[in-house]
Parts: sequence; C-alpha cells; structure tokens
Amino acid sequence: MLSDLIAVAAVLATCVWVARGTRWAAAIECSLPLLVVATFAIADERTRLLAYGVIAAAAFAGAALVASERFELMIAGVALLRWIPLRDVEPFREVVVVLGAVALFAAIRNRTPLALIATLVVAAVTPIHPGKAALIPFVVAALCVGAPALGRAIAAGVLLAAAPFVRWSLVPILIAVAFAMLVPFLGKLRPLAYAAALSLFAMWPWSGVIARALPAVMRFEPPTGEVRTVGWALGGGESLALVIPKARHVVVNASAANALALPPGTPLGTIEASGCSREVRVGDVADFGFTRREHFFAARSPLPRVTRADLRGLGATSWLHGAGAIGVACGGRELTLLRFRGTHPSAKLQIESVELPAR
Amino acid sequence: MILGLFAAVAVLAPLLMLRPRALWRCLGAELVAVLVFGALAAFARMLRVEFDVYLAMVAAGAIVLAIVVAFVAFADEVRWSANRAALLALMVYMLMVPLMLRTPPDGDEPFYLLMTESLVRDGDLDLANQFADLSRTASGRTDLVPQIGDRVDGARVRSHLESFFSILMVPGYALAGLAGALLTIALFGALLARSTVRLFEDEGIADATTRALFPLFAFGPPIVFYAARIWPEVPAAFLFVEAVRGLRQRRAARWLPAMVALVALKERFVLLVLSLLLASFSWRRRIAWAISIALLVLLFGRHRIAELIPASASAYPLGLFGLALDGAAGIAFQAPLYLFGLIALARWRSMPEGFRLGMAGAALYVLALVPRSEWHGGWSPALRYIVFLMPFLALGCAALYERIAPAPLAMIAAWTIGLVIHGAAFPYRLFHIANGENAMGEMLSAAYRADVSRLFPSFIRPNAAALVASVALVVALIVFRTGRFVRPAVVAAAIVVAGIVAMKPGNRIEFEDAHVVHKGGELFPTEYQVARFVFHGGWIVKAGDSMSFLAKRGPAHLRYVSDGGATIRIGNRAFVLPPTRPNTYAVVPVEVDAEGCVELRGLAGTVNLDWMHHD
Repeated sequence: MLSDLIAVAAVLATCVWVARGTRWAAAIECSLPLLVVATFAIADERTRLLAYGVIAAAAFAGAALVASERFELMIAGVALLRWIPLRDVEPFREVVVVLGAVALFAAIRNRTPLALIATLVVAAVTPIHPGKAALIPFVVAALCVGAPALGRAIAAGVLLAAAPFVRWSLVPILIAVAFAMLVPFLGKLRPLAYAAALSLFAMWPWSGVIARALPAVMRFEPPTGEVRTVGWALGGGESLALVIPKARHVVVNASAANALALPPGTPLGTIEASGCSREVRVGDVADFGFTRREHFFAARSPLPRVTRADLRGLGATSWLHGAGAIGVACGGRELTLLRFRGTHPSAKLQIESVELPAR
Repeated sequence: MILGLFAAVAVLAPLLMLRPRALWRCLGAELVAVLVFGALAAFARMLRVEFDVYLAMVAAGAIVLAIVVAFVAFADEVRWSANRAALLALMVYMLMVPLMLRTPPDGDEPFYLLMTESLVRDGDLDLANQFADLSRTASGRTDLVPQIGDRVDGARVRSHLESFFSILMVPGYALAGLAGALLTIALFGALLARSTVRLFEDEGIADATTRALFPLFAFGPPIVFYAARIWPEVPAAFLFVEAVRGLRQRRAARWLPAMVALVALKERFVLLVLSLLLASFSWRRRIAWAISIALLVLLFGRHRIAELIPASASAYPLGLFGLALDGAAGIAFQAPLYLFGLIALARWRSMPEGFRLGMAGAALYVLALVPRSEWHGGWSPALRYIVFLMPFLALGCAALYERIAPAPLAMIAAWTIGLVIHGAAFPYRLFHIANGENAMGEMLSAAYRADVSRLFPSFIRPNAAALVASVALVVALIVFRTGRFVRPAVVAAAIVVAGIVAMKPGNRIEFEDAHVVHKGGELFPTEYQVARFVFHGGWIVKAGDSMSFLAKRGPAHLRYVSDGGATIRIGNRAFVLPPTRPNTYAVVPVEVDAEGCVELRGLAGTVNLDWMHHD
C-alpha cells in the first residue's frame, strides 16, 4: 500500500510539473501535504481512500485546466486509473493500453481538457483480458483519424443506440468510444462533462468498479434490517431449508457461481416461503465475480437489479460482488421457513445472507 | 434555511461582483462543484463511508463559496469597490449567523445579550430580573449566573461588561431578537470590510492585491467568526480602522467619535486611543489628550494603572510568542495569513504610514496584554484580544504581497479554508479550554493514542515545540525574503517526519491530555472552570482508577498534589506518594519498568497528577 501511495504522490507531482509556471502550480502542490494529512488524520480506510480520490481529482482537474500541454498528464491519469495496485499490474498489456491512449490523444487533434477526459475514459474501460482487447484505444484512434466529423457523429450515434442491446460487458466500452468520437461536438456541455469526469476520477481507488459496474451506484440500496449470514451454494437439485424469525417479508442476498456465460433471464433456482415460490434468474443475481478484471469481458451477466454493493479490492482490480438483493413476501402471510432450491445443472445458486426486517 | 441562504449567496455574490464573462464562468464552476459533491455523496453512500453529513455540507458550501471569492480575487472582469466588498461580506456573514447558532452563544456572549434584553424589556441595566427568569433569554442559556466581577448590590445585579456594545444591539434585537442582534454585528463586519478596503486604497495598495487578500481577511478567521457572534471585537476593529484613517486624513469628525466609541466599547481600548494620540500629534497636544483620557478612565473606569505592571518578566515572551505561535490561540495556527503581518513589522521602515500608525497605536495595548495570564483570550474564539489589529496586520501583508512567493500563500489559503470549515461546522470548537492542547492535536492524539499534541507549540503550557517555533519565527522575521523555500512538498515531508516522531513516547506525560486513556478519575480543574488558565491542569485518580499512555523506560519524576497522600502503581511497580500541603505540588522520583503502553493505577488514596517527566 505504501508503494501505491508513493505512486499517487508521483501522479500529483506530475500535476505540479505540468502546471509549473502558472499561478496555480503552488495550489496544486498543496495536494501533497493534503495527501499526507489525509493519511494521518483519517482512520477509516474507505473514507481515507475517498479523500485520496478527491485530492487527486482536484489536483488533476486543476492541472488539466491550467496546463498548456496535457500529454504527461494523460499518462499520469492512465497510470492512476489502471496501475494501482502496483502489485497487480500486467506490464506488457498495460504498456499496450498506454500506447493506445497516447495514439488516441494524438488522434483527437484539439488537446483540450475534454480530449483528455475522453482518452482517460477509453483507457479506463479498456479490458486487458483477452489481451487483444487492449488494442481498443488504437481502433478508436484510427476511427478518429480516418472518419470525417459527420461519420464520427453517426458512428457514435450507432454505438449509443446499440448499447442497450448488447451484453453488459460491452456497454462501458461502447459509451466510452462514442464519447471519444463526440468530443468535437461537446463544447457546450463542458460543465457537465467536467463534473462527471471529476466525480468519476475521484473514485480512482475503485476505478475497476467504476469502469465495469458504474450503474451499481443507482442500484444500491443499503440493508435496513438484521443481516444473517448463510453462505451456502446450491447446485442443480440441491436444496436448503432455513428457519427464520416470523416476518412478513425478508430480503435474500444471493449470487451465482459458474454462471459467467449464462445470458440474462436464465433460471438458477427458487425461493419458497409459506406456500409461495419465487424464481431466481440471472439478472436478479449475477455471477459473484463477473466484474473481476480477468472475467468481465467474457461475462454475459448483467448487473443485479438491486445490489448491496459489496466492493472488493483496490484500484483497477477492484470489483463488485455479483450478489443481488431479492425481496421475498407471500401476500402478507408470515414467513417462518425459507426453502432454497438450485435448478441449473451447471451453475450454482449461492445464498449469501438473509435480511430480516428492522424491529 | 441555511441551504436557502447558501444558494442565495452562491448566486447573488457572483452577480454582485463579476462582469458577464467571469460571471458565467464562475456560475459554471459552481455548478460543476455542486454536481461533483452530489455525485460524491452518492458514491460515499454506496461505499458505506460514514461521515458527518453536516460537516460535509458545510465543507461543500465553503468550497463553492471559495470558488466565488477566488473569481473575485483573480478574475480580470470584476466589479470591485469598497461598497461591493462590504455587501459581499455582509452576505457571507449573514450566512455565518445561523451556522454559529448551531450551539448557544458562549463566553461573554449571553451576558451581553442579557444586557440588551434588559435594555429592551426593562429600559435598565439591572440584570437581577433577567437572571431570575432565564427562560426568556433568547440565547437559550438557562445556566447563567452573575459573572465574577459583576456588581451585586442587594437585589440589583450590574454586569462588569461595558454596556455600550449591548446598546448597539438594541435596535437589531428589538426588531428580530437574537438574529437581529447578530445581524447588527454582521453589519459591523461589513463596515469593517468596507473600511479596510478604503484603508488599503488610502495607503496605496493596488486593487489586485486588495482583491487577492480581501477573502482571506474578511472570510478567514478570526474576522469571519467574530462577525457572526456577539463579541465587541469586530465593531472595535471597525472603529480602530476609522480612527486611524481619520488621523491620517486629519479629519476629527472621523477619528474623534471613533475613539470615543472605541473606549465606550471596551475600557481596555483606552490604551489604543492613548497610543494613537501619542503617535499622531504635537507633544503639547499629545500630553494634553493623554492626561485627559487617562484621568477620565481612572475616574470613571474599572481598571487600574497597577494592572499594567506585570508580575514577571518571563510573562512577556510567553504572551508575545504565544499570540504569534500557540497551537490553540496563536496567529500561526488560527489565522496564518497574519504571519506576513508580523514579518511586515520586522520591515517597519518600508511599510505604509497607516500600518505604522496602526501598529504603533496598538503597542501600549499589546505590551499591557502579553504579560497577563489571559493573553490567549480565555473562553472565547481564538485571537479575541487582537482582532482589532487584524486590518493592520492585513495591510502589512498587502504591502509585502508582491514579494511573497505563491507557495506559502497557497498553503495559507488552504489552511484558512480548513479553519473556516471547522469553525463553521463546529462553532463550539472555536472555544478551547486553555490546557495546552488544540483541536487537531487532541483529535490525532485520541486517534493514535500517542502524544501528537506535543508537536504543536504551546505557550499556555510551554513545551519544547514552542521553543523551536519561537526560534524559527525569529529567524523567519530576519531572513524572510519571499518564502519560496516553504513549498508544500517540503511541508508534506515535514508532516511525515512529524508523524513518525509523534508515534514515539514523549519526554513528558501530561495526565489530562487526550492521548492518555482514562479509566475512571476526573479532570482537574473541571472543564468549564472560570479562568481555568490560572490552574495547573491534571487528572484526579482515586483507588481503582487507572490510565494508560505511551512512556519511555527508566527513571522519571512525577508532579502531584495529594492532601492525604496516595499509593499508585506504574507498570509493575508501586509508589507511595507522601501527603502534600494544600494546593502545593510535590515532585517525586518514579521508575517506569517498560517502554511502550504503560498503565498507571491508583491503589490507595486520592491524588491529583499533573505530569510525569522522563529523566
């Protein structure tokens, strides 16, 4: 972690470097003591990481706005979004991504802050598993160079229109590519673009989650009652009965295993309670590790409809657990026994926990 | 209401101060900031980051307003004038008022308000009926009793505080109660902002410099807090500036009423008036003025000349350096902008005439203040006794501004924003018991269970850091050119080193400090003891009580007071503490048998433990 912190300090130093000679360089340099103060003063790890995120984003935004040349800044930004934690960096593939980002930044001719944002967004969502996906920035760069303005606008429109119909792991890439192609047309929307970029950049300690599972922010609902851990995986034909205190409704947190390739809507199992039955499908829950860097591109799971946002890991390798929250009720009848049944022959339904209503 | 006021200020302030191009940019930047804070709040919720929502909202609001004042300070297209600056200040102070009212008025505030209430309701200054029925006071303080020094004459109670300040608040209070009284002070704050800008103009300070420093002066501590609370310091600052401006312009119609009001506000300000007159006129007139005023005050005032004679010579450096460097009550930590004002003092000859007159005018007052044990202001927000001086320290800073490197200014701006957020969100933390610690030191000490407070200079309870800081200040006053070597990166490295040092045991353990984990016992003196600063702080331990702290291994000395004697255990060794005479501390040798976290337990008797010093 110390090496990661030093890497962050190096990124901040780059921000100071690119802003040198401007009246704001000293203000940007203040991010260094602020980083140290946050390290010492904030005990809770997530709060501290969020503070790091805000400090780095503010310094980066300041440098991006005042610097005359943003090339070094772009590389520093890619490093911050993709190379932390340093221990998990896959050097060869990451170098390919950086080179692709360089090509893309060069291809977007006016190197405005918007171009920088677009390059960083494309770099952030570029998968490196499979390795050939690391070439995506080169493809976007080629499109930016080769296609006329109208063509780029049409292509961006097509990509955005296609986004709702493709598998989830392609959606971030399509939207990022469309954004990169639309950069010349987004001048009037700069405040919105800056706000979005600044907010997302502040989340670099969870850049993996932001790149692969951003809608989780909207789909997150915090647990409201007592959470009882279950931790049981059910294969096809297996079942589990769970006695619970009387309640009219409960929430079951469940995920899937071996379900990466299953399309949305595939039945995984059932939950029975007081004579009522509820089917659990891909979409209600997802493969537990489908947002991990190594698996995401190949996964067909969508994000769960409602998630408790169990975030794991740090930086580019951070991921969102695929558990979804499923409400169980039976027309106002009291529930005392939950019976879970796995129905898929190869995938498993994992019952993570049961949430009882707050008393 | 606070959100509504904030939104109004966030929109109206740019409209008031900026021309169209800068205005749109500023509004755009504000919009970006608001959207970012909204998004961060959503992310924080998902991350289940637990934070103080109120603090976060105050911080977000302060940052948005910092964007506005940054535009005012640095944009090219600004509608700048003293009147507009005053209106901007008034808007911000009006926003500060409800923030300050998060907790009831404290210190002298409720007593000033009580006098105003007495004037409005009874038409007199007898507070007996006010004390008898405290449920009617707008301060909400039902725990008030006559203060030390109040004149209790049979059934009549007359406050020792000067009544003029309370009279000033009468119209505001009559119109809108407590809010009206506070808005009266805010109005004086706006007048102070206007007068200060005028002072800068009179002294030839460039508009660009005034604009750059104005936010740090008007919206930084201590002015921003005193302008939204019931203390006479901001009206006094306004009157002092007007007095100096009047003398500089030779307009008796300006300086004479200002001086009279200044003395009526607080008798101690007579020293300002005396010094100002001595510094301004021919010898004959100086002597005549000085003798007349001194006689008037001696005849009708409550202070005596004997109060000007210090008890000990060592009190002077303690008070003087304390005002500059103390962690809880000094300029360096509580209003760092004015460090440049101190540096300006060391460049006396090259400073503007107004600066020299103002500082010369304050000389007698400061000389009288620093040897007093209450130099730090007692139970009040920091720097209380020198708030009136801030416009002139700011003027000195403005005179140096062109020479100061951007890095120290940027750090000071960042620290100032932090102080304002902290004070606005937690107004009760503006008051700090005079125990030698400060809010940040206490927070870090409590978090790490290590004596972090010892790294902050304290002149209330002098420590080694105070000595180091004093030497550093003297060196800085002599060698300061631009401050370009004081870079944020250097400060970051220094904080890392300080953090590492802080985790090791210190040479001296003050038993009442935040890093000591107390299990039983009680603080001495009690937290809200009047004039707490005249006592030695300590922790009272009875049999069965214990405390733990980081300590070094080896011989040490323990300072304590115990009427009947006591037995304590430190680590695995027991020590008998012989009885002492009442209120007379004794020092005994003890031995700590292990390095690290050590437990001190009371085995028998009761003892008030002051400190333990490693040999």
